[in-house]
Amino acid sequence: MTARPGRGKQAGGDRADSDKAGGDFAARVLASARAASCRAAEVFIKSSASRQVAWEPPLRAGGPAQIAASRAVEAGAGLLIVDSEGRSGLAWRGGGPTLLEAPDDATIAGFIADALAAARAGGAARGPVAAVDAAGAIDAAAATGATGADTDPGADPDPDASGSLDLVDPECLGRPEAALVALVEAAALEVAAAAEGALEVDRILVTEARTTVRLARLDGFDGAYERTIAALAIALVPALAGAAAVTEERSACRLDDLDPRQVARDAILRGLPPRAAPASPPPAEQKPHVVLAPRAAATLLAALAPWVTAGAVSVNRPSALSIVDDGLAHGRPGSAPFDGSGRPARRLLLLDHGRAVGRLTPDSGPFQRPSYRDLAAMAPAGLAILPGQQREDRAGMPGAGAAGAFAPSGPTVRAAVIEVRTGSTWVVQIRRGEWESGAAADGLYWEGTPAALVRAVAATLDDLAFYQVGLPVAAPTVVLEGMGPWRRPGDDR
Amino acid sequence: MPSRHDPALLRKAAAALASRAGDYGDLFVESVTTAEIRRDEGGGRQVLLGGGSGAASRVLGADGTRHRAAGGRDAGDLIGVPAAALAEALTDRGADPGAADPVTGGAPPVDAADTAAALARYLDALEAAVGAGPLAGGGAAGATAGGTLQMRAEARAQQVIIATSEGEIAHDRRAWASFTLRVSRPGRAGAMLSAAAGGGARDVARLVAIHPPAEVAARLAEALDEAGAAAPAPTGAMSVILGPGVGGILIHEACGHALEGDRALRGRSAFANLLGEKVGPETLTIVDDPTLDGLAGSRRIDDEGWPAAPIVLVDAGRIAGLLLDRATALRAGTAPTGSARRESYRDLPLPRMTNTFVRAGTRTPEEIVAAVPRGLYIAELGAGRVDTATADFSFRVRRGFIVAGGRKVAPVGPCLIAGNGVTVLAGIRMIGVDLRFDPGTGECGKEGQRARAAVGQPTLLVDGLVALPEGT
Repeated sequence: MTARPGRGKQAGGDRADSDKAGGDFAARVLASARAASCRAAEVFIKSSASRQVAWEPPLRAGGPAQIAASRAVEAGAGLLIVDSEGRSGLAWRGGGPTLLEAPDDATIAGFIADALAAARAGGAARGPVAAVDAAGAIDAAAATGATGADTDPGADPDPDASGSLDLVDPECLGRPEAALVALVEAAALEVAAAAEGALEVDRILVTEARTTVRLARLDGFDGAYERTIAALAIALVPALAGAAAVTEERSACRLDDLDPRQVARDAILRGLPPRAAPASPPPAEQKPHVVLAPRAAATLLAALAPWVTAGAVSVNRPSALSIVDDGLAHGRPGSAPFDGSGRPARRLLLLDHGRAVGRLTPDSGPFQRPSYRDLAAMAPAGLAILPGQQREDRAGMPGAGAAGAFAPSGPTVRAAVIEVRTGSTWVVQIRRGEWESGAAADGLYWEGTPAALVRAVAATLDDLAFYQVGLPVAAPTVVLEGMGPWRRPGDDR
Repeated sequence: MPSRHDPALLRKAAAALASRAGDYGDLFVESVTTAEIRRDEGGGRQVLLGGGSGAASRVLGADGTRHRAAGGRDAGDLIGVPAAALAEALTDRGADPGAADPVTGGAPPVDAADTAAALARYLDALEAAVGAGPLAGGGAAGATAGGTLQMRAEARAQQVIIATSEGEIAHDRRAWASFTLRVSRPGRAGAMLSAAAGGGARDVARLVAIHPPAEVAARLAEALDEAGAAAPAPTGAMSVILGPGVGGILIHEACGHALEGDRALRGRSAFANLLGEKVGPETLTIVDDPTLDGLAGSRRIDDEGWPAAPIVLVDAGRIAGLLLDRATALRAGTAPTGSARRESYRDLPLPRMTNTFVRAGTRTPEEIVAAVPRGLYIAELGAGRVDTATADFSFRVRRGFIVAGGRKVAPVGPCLIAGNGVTVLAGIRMIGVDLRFDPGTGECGKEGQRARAAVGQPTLLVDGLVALPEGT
C-alpha cells in the first residue's frame, strides 16, 4: 500500500487546521507505537460538529410546539496495535478539538500504554484486526475477495474521490435554525393533512452533522475525508384503533435531498389501520403480479441483506433482481473514499440477475466504523437494487402508453407497504396494497423461501429511491411474478 | 475530577445559563472509562480500553430547550461556560486514577488496564468451564463436540457532576461490570442447539463471586439439555406463569415505559388517563427504585442531580405515579421524581426506569404452578416489541415449559408470547414470594439512548396472554 498524504482538504482555516492537527496527532501516536516495538498500528480519528432540532406537538390545542435544539462538538481517536508478540489491542480517547490539536506527551504515552495493555489482555491478531499486522496484507486479502467488484479493491483510494463523491453539503450547519424548524413543520403539516385522523406526530427529528475522518497506519497509509450527513426521523403514534406506531427515517449527505412531505407520506402509509378485505376478493390463487413500490422494495432488500451479503441466496433461473453494495454512490451517507479499515471504497456486485456473484468477506470487507470507540466491522456501505430502464405505464402518469413502458397484464396488486418475516419459512405480507380494481389487498400474505422471492422478480423500474430502514438502502419499483398462492389471514390452508 | 472542581465557579456558571426569568439551566459534566473484551466464535479475542470526558449545558425556557454539548478539556468554551469552571472536571483520559470521591463515597475510579486484565482472567475461567461442560457435550442430551462459543465482557465507570441554576451541585460515581455468552452445539438430531447466559455486578471482583464459572457452565448445560428435549410450543390463549427474575422484562417494557412522564403526558401511553385507576389486583405493587444496592440501575442521584428515590408506579393495583424528569415535571406542574437519565453528555435527559420490580406476594412458586391445569411456564424471555401507545407487546420465549395438571412436564421450543400491558396487569391472578432480579445484563433503549436497567419479579400467574408460533 502506498503512503498517501491526507485527503479531502478544502478551503477554510478551521478545516485546514483540523486536518493538520489530526495529521500531527496521528503521526505522533504512530511514532510512539513504533518506539514501543509495535509490529503494526492504525490510528482512526473522527471529529464532528452537529446539531439537531426535535419537534413535538403542542401539549394542548393552540399551544406552542415543543422544540428542543441541540448542538455538539466532539473529537476522538482509536488506536489499534499489534504488539511485538502478535497480540492486538485497541485503545480510544474521546474529547474535543484540543485532544487532537495540543496533545501533551503524557496523553500520547497513556494512549500507547492502554493499547499495549489491551493487547496483553487480548489474543493473537486475527480477522480484520490482523489486516494491520503486515504491509501487503490488505492487497493480498483484496486479491482473494475481489469477486464482483466493479473497482479494484487493491487500488489506493482515489485522491480526488472525496470531492467527486459529492459528500459535503457546503451549507451544513450554516443555515438558520428556522430552516430546520420549517422542515420539521412541513412534515408535521403533511401528517395532519394526510393521516386521515388515524395517526399523530409523536416526534420529528432533523439532524445535521459535519464529520472529518482520518485513518493512518504504520505501513504508510494516511487518508482523510470530510462528509456531511442530514437525517430526518418522523415518529407517528396511533390516534385510532388499529393504527400502528411507526418511525420513518431518511439520511443523505445534503439536507435538500430530504423531502419531509414524502417521508411523512411513507410513514403514514405504514401506520394506517389495515382496511377490511372486500367480501369477494379477486382470486389470489391466480398468482397475481405484485408491484412493490420503492419503499416496499426497500423493506424486501433489508430482509434479503444478510443472505445477499453472505452469498447465501442464488438462483439459476433468470431473475431481474441485481443487487450491489455501493460505497461510491454520490451524495450517500455510506459512501467514502475508503472504508473503516482503509480499503478503497468500491461498488461490489452481489447478485447478478439472481445469481450470487459477490459477497462481503472478513478479508475484503467492506468495513464500517461508526465511531473511534469501535473496531472496524464488516457491513455493507449502501445496498441497492439495480433499477431497470422501464417506467411504469399507468393511466394518468407521465409517459403512459409510451413504447417500452411497463404495464403488467392480468391480476395485479400494488403494494405500498409490506412486512417480511424471516425464519425457516419466509412470510411476505402486504400491509397496504390495492388490486387494480381499487379493492384493498391489505393483509394478503405469501409463504416461501428467499430463493423463491428472488426468482419471482420479473422487472425493476427506473424510479430508484433512497431509504434508511435500519441500514441505508436504495430500491426502485420491483415487480414480482409467479408467486403464489397469496392468502388472506384466516384462510384455510 | 469530581473531587477537584471548584463549586463556586460551577455554581456561577450554571446560574448564568438561566439568564431570563423563569428559565432553568444546568451543567452536566461526565468522564468515563471502559474496558471491553469480545471473544468471537473462532476464539479470537479483542480488547478495547477507552476513556473520555465532556460536558453539556442545557436551558429549559418558555421557547423550548437549548442543549450544547462538547467533549474534551475545552468543552466549557464550546458550550458557553467559562473554561475555568470545568477545567478541573475534564480530562482527555477519563476517570482520574486517584482517590475515591470523599463526598459521594461512590464506586472508586477504575484503572482500565487492571480491569481488562481481571476481565480476561474471568473469561479464561468461563471459557474453560464451558469448554469442559456444555460445549464438550457434557449435558445429558449426549451432544457431540463441534459447538461454538461467543463471549463479551465489559466494565464501565462513569463519574458525573451536575450543577443547576438553582444552586445545587451533585456528584456521583457509577460502575458496572457484566458479561454475556452464547453457546451453540449440535444436538442428537443434528440441529444446532443454543443457549445464553450472563451476569453483572458493581465491579469485576463481585462479578466473579456472584457468577462463578462452574455455575454459569452448569446453567448453560441445563438450558442446552432443555433445548434438545423441547416439545413444540402450545399456541393460543392460556394461563401463563412468568418465572421469577427475567420475566420482569415484560413488566418493564409493557407497563414501565408507558408510565414514563414524557410518553404519558403527551398522551402516548395506554396508561395516560388511568392515574389513580385500578388496573390490577390489590396484591400488585410495582416500584422503580434506584436506591437498591448493587443493581444495574442503581445510583445516588439522577442525571439532573435530583436525589434518587423509590417511586411507586402501581400501588395496591392502582396506577400511583409517573417517572418524571425536570422537563416533564414542569409540564405536570409537580416536582421531578429523580428519574432523569442520559446515556452521555451528548444526549438530553429523558425520564426512564432504573430498577423496576413487582413486589413479592404471598404464594409459593409451587402453589402457583399447582394452580394451572394447562398452560405455559416462561423461564426466560428474549427480545420483544412493544407499542407503548397501545401497550400491545410480543416477546420471544427463550426457555419455557408446558404446564399440565399443575406440573411442569416438558421444555418447549421457541415461541412468542403476545398481549397487552393493561390487560396483563388486570390478568394477574397470583403473585409469588420469590422476588428475584435479573442477573445484571439488562440494558434499555429509548430514543436512541442506551441505559443499564434491572428488572425484578416474583413468580406471576397471568391470564390474558397468547402464545404464538415463532415467526408470526
